[in-house]
Amino acid sequence: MIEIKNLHKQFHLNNTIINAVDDVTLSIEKGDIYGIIGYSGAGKSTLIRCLNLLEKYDSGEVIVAGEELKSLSKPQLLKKRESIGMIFQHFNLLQSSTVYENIASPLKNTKGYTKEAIKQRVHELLKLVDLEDKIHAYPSQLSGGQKQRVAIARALSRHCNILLCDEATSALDPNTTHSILSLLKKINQELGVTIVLITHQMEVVKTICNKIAVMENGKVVEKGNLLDVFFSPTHPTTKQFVEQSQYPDELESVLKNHEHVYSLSFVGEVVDQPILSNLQKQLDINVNILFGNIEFLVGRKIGNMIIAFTGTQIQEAISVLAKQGVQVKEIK
Amino acid sequence: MTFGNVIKYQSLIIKALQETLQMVFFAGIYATLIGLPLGILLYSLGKNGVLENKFIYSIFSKCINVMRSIPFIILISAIPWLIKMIAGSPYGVKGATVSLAIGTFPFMAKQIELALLQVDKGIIEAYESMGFTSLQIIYKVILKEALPYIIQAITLTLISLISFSAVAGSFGGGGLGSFALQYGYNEFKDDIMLVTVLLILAIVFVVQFIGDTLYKYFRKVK
Repeated sequence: MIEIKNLHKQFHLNNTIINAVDDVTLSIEKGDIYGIIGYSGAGKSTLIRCLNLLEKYDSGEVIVAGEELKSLSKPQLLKKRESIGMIFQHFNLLQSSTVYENIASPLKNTKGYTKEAIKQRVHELLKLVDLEDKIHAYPSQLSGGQKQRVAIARALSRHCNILLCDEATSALDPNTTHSILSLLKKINQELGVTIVLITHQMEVVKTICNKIAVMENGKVVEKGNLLDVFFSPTHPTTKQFVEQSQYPDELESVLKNHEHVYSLSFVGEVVDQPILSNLQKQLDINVNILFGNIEFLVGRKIGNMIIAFTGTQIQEAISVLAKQGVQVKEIK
Repeated sequence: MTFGNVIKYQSLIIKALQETLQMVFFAGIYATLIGLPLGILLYSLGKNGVLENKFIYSIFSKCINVMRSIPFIILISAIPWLIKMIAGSPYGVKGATVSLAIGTFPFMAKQIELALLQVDKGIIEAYESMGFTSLQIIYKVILKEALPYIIQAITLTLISLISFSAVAGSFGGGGLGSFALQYGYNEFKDDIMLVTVLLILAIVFVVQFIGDTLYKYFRKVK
């Protein structure tokens, strides 16, 4: 669906060169919800802007549905943009227009839509985003979540098959973030819209993405299926994101008083088995659980635990766990 | 103080009032007709504008600033030939209207540019991402979003136009300004002075009130 090949983009700022996007290669397939995560300044915003040529890249290729963006003529590009919707952190609605007019605005600008067809389409979209009662409201009368719903409806109005989300939930509270993410998931599943989103929140990626790329200093430092990257991150930045999203901030102080601390991660049916209790029965070992949780990622259960061992057979315990498919990492 | 003179010169006051309103109204229309497109052009040539061109913008912007900085009274004394060419005569209501329009359109252009700059860049970007052309973005997004600020800009220009009109009056343009000078100042008729000042204030208040009301109406932030 979207092929990004060796993409480069530099900015010149006060005689220093900033490599905002540095040799990025990504492949986004139809139906993906692709999450690009990174801290601010990592270049993710520039990258997503290259996908509809709001930002002109210096070299490399962005091929969207078989067409390289920079090779398109101006009218071709404008036409292409109709099939690539985009939503933003600050919603960017027309303040002077009602919800109806906002959603209708791209349709009014497209040939072949009669007044009646526009009206019908807007009502369809309002139903999709669950805002039928706000049809005549102005953006200033809406909450952040409602504004983003209007923005989503506007972006989808011309049946785009790709939706770019530029920090779309960063200005929203956690509850609203969740409802917007559910809406995006619904759009992905029911309408088959491929979604590319950038964020600095691991929560967002964990909630809806099936693939992830981690960016730092303009480079993609790690990418792949969410489950793989989440289960065994290799790059330090990825590890940081994964840990931040897994462990509470207070963990550090809890670990202080313990020795032989290990983290255990496991996927699938192991989650449902009493592995630690079995371990204590088989070996001369005691397990002290310091932290534990089970999450759903891409529809699969992921268990995650931090434990402290006491007893004589610690090495044996680790090898038993490893045999059962549990990933064991020594923390201290 | 008695208002004997006011009653005596009643018809002249009404005529002067009509002249002032006529000057302000038509000069306002001309200044808007010239200033609005110039303001849009200035905005489009500016930083991140759809026709961004640093060189042309800096020349253009400097010209507008220079014209804006020349005191009105000096500007109209310097170009009677131009006013004569356009209006047929540098005097009278017609001449004054032309000189007022010339004196205020640069101010209007600058105010319009500032008004358009109030539009959030993010909204413009959103419509770029939807495949709108530069022209469509100007008239379907920027002008629509900036309308309340454009109304503010026009109101502000009209207010300064009213005070300029009093100056233009002293150049033989007629209107309340010249009336106040001729009868109130030169002939020491205080009551005439007072009434003309009040009339000018009333015009300013009415213009400001209409401007504010329209601004609130079009600015849909509740």
